[in-house]
Amino acid sequence: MAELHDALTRMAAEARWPATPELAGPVRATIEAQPADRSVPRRRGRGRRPLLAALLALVAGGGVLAAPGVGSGLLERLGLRNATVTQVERLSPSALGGSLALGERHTLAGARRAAGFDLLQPAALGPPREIYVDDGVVTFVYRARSGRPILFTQVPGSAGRYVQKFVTENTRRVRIAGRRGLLLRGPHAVLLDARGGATRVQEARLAANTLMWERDGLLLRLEAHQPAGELIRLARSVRAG
Amino acid sequence: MVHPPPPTEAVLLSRARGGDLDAYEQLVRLHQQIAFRTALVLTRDAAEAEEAAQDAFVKAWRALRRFDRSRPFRPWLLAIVANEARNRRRSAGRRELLAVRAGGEPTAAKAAGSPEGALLVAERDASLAAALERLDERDREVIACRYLLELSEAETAAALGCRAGTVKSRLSRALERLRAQPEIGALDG
Repeated sequence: MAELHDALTRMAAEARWPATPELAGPVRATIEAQPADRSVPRRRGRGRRPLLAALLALVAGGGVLAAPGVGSGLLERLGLRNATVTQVERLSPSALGGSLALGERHTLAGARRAAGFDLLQPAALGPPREIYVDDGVVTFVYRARSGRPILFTQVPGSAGRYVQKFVTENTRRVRIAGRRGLLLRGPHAVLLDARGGATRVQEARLAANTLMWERDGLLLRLEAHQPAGELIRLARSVRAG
Repeated sequence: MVHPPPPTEAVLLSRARGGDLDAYEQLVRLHQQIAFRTALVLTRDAAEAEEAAQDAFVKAWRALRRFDRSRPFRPWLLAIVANEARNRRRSAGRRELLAVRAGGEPTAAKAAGSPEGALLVAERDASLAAALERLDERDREVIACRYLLELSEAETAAALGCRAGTVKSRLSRALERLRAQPEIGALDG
């Protein structure tokens, strides 16, 4: 038995564990996004929150994640099967300015007809001020108290469609009502495969925080100049429209 | 420049119970490795383990007021982690095996004292890994908690959801069954 004990001890010493993920940031984001807990009083943190470990850095240590297998495998793990995250050195200048290029403006009823899928809406934001449809991609535009826009985009998660995001700042995992999602900080651009196989660039999105998650066969994106916790709170309010 | 010593776990706990999220973040960092690894032992899936650990920390935050400060924090936390991990178990066919190397490591060679000895050690460890895989879940988990995770009896009891007094007997029976495996009979004989 002593030799067995020694062998187990040696095996433990030689065990190669997977790297421990950074949990503190996602835990904090989740706590902040949840309704105030009656059992633990919330107090504002002192100073700026430390920057969270970038998800991309975990898998690539920076640089360009050009290999589709790396990003897609990681995102599949996250439950974001329709998305691929790629890190690039620099964004195209055209992706940071200009019009929002969200497509053709519609009424809600018109958007429902044009979309061809059941639309969702963040209940916490009320009715959208403007609605755009671009080849089946539906974007609701809201106005925040600051006057800045909030975008809620719904992309059908059909097999022939994917989204490629270029991320230049931290990315972290979040939970949205039990679903896995990604919080992308800072400027980004989105490439969409239009129906028929052509790739189209949605050039001018907001250089803001973006929350991305999947639900009901849709890839959902919520983009705004809002803190992560507020974005998650809004995302948790998404309901069938 | 002299830096103040980092706050102790007791101080962080006290602050966190008062609603200090900064303190709780530090507590999470202190315990995230053992939480993740415990969840990994129980789920055998790294992604599931990460989520289980993350959700456990969130639940622990919400339950902090109920934590008995006269007791150590880690077993209490591990009980929550283990509960989350068990809820996330997937079918056995989809689980990844723990990345336990079965030999050829420097420590094995050093222990053996020669290349031939190292080879022998490697073969023994491979046999041990195979034998462990054939044990049932309960036996494998108690061995993993005590040897792989190096948890105390109290922590093992918390992780496995049993009384501390039963850990020793459960481990003893698990080791007996491990020893009864054909490969181990040769190893331990």
